[in-house]
Amino acid sequence: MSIFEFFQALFQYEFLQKALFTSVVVGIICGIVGCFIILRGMALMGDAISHAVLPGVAISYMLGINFFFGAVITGVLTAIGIGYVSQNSRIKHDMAIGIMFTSMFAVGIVIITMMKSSADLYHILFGNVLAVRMSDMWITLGIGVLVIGLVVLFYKELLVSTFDPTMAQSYGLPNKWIHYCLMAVLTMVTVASLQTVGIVLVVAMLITPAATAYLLTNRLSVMIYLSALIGVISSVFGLYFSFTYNLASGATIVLVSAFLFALAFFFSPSQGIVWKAHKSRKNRLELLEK
Amino acid sequence: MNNNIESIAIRVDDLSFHYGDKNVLQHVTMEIKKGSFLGLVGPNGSGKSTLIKCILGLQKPQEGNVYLFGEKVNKFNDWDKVGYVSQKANSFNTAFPATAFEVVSMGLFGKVGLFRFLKASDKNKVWEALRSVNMDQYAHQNIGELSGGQQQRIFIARALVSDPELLILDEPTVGVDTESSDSFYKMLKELHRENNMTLVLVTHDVGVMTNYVTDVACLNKQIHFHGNTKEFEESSSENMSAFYGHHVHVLHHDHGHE
Amino acid sequence: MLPFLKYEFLQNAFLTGIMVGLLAPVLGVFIVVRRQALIADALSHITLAGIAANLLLGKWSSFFAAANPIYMGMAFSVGGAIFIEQLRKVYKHYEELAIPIIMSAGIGLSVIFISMADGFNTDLFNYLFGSIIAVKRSDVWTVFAILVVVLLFVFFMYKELFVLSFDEEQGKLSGIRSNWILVAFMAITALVIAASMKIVGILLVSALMTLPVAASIRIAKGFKQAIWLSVLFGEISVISGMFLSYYLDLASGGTIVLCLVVILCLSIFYKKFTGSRKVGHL
Repeated sequence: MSIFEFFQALFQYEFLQKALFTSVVVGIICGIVGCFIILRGMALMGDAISHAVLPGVAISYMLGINFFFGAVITGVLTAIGIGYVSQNSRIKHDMAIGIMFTSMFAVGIVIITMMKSSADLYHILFGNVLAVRMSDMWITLGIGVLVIGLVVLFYKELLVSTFDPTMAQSYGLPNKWIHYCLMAVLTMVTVASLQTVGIVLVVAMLITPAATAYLLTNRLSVMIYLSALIGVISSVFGLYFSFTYNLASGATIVLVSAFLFALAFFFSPSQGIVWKAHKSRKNRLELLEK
Repeated sequence: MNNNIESIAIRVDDLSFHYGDKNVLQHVTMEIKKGSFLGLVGPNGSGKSTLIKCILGLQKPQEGNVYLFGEKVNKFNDWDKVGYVSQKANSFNTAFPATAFEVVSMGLFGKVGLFRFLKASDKNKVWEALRSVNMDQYAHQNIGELSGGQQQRIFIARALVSDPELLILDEPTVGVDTESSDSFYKMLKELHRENNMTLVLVTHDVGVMTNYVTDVACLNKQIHFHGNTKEFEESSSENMSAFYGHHVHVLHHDHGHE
Repeated sequence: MLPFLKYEFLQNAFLTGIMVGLLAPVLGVFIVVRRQALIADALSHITLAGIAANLLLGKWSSFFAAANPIYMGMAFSVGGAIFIEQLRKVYKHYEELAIPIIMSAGIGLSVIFISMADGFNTDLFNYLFGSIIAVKRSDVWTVFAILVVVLLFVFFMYKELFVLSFDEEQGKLSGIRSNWILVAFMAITALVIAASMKIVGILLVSALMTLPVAASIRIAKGFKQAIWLSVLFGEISVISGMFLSYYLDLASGGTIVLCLVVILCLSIFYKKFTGSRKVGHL
């Protein structure tokens, strides 16, 4: 199927329009939040929260309510749990994350196997954006507006507390609150991304575009725009591949973004290793000439 | 200066090192005699640790050479002649489940070789090393449960257990309280006197160390001074201020954060 | 004989479970103290890509259709392990970013392979979360071979692994050929992950490697004791997890990990109430 046919289908089918819209919004907010996640060194935390919403999703499914509520509750509880365990025992932070996330995930799996419905489980795990419902689309949009609004409003505070937590403390910024709010935002982003990329792959959507942008620029504001842009590109192309070849949307979106990361990793003008190798060779040659 | 190769433990020859565009060491040349106790001082970021790593062959300098006991460092094989105690803070994880005894016995592993196990005589050596730093009563404690000063003694014991001729210590007293660090220096002095060992002590603290060492070298990307302690004390303090860029700490103070 | 062990498939699961309960924590001790839990996670996701590739190739070639997918999983996993170890050495700075990306690329690939092979069925479900009914006799022998290799490796390399985990620099200084030992260790880890997958599932393998260790290092005196305790905790949870999984008809990976979590909580409380505090002072 050519790109042209894809556009034709896009005008024709409502489900495809909804899918495209939802995944673009997800690409943007994951890109934005991802920047803060990787600059604060919380990549692992993103992984943990995204896995930890599974029991919440499973329970809401059992109770027949929208999984948004269950997921937000378990996500926030996990974030608090990780903070509590690592502050109140000798267990290191990364260990605490590993422990909380595997246990929550295991609980989720046990609950889901009790329900005996594996088809839905696959959608939760790996995403199926083509089956997005109207209500899901509105939730995603709502979360998107909220997240962007929060980032715009608290940009200064986020910037300071991300780059220098001690200085932020001395300004009287409540670091702890910022941390937990970010965790709550992270949970909401995870929930918004559930339909598009699925639980297992949300972390990729958070980290990969932001990491790619990180390789390309040194300025936070530029990084955020770039990262959102890369998120959108991955979403659109991922959706195209998913629709054309009938593959799970989460996987195709993530692979497109991994491909973009690999490009930046090798060819970025300032950080790319191809350029670095070239430069250091040039340096050596110059030294030899001297 | 005696140029006889036999009497030189470490020779650094026109060594330069840079990370990317940042120069860390520029044309460093120095010789450290066998049996000396050298204090290597310099402010933070002066390249002390990098120099030590180059000496030990853990970092490769872009220019220049290092010779250990007359042998080029990349050809040097007698690593049990060399003991090394690295900066404690970043080198180990306090939750590591190992007893003091196990940590010290690691110092012998290079000697014992692949596919072999520790013999009874090796275990005796571990006890001996623990006794020499007065830590034998803590042998079966987990390393993470000991205090900073005690941990540092254990690391010294690990370096001593293979009977090295040269012992290199990189900022051993960072994070250790003043009292323990004093007794620690005294212990080093005794080790030096009794075993005729060559010691290199890296520190950014000039004050205390001059009471114990025989020679001093000042490093700030380049070697600014290298001579015995007496000459060092006679060299005017303006020199030192220029070198440090501010007034020199003469009094020892605690750099620990915990 | 327990009624539980009447059926051959349960015997298979039981034998494999016991071996895996020994293997995963033994390697886990070294992984946890080297703070590489994330790498174990990444490897397990890459293993899934191998299994998925085998399922896909099996559609076209009878050779792959007949082969046990675990072998392809191992090949991918070992390849991934060597790649990550090289990457870690060359680009230290990017390790933290590159590994989650490799990991998700791995699972992205596997999902694509699987959907191309029309394999979204219970088979995949078993690989993801573990199942005690899917273990074949040939799996038991494969895991047994891995067990022998791993135990020999750890037994003879104990000293070297211990030094390198405690402090890599010191290891290099005492003349240990650290490079190939670390690569071999990662390769062995990859094998164990592939072996554990049938029982605990890809998504929870790393938990079986890290949780028993997290519990044991809180109580253990010394490194050897930490290894023995981890193995003990691993075995207890694998065996009780398998029983629970059989009688309650749940995914075995989930029940095993929940048993591990219970043990971990007990160890935390044990430590809190017996309260052996730090002896020295800083």
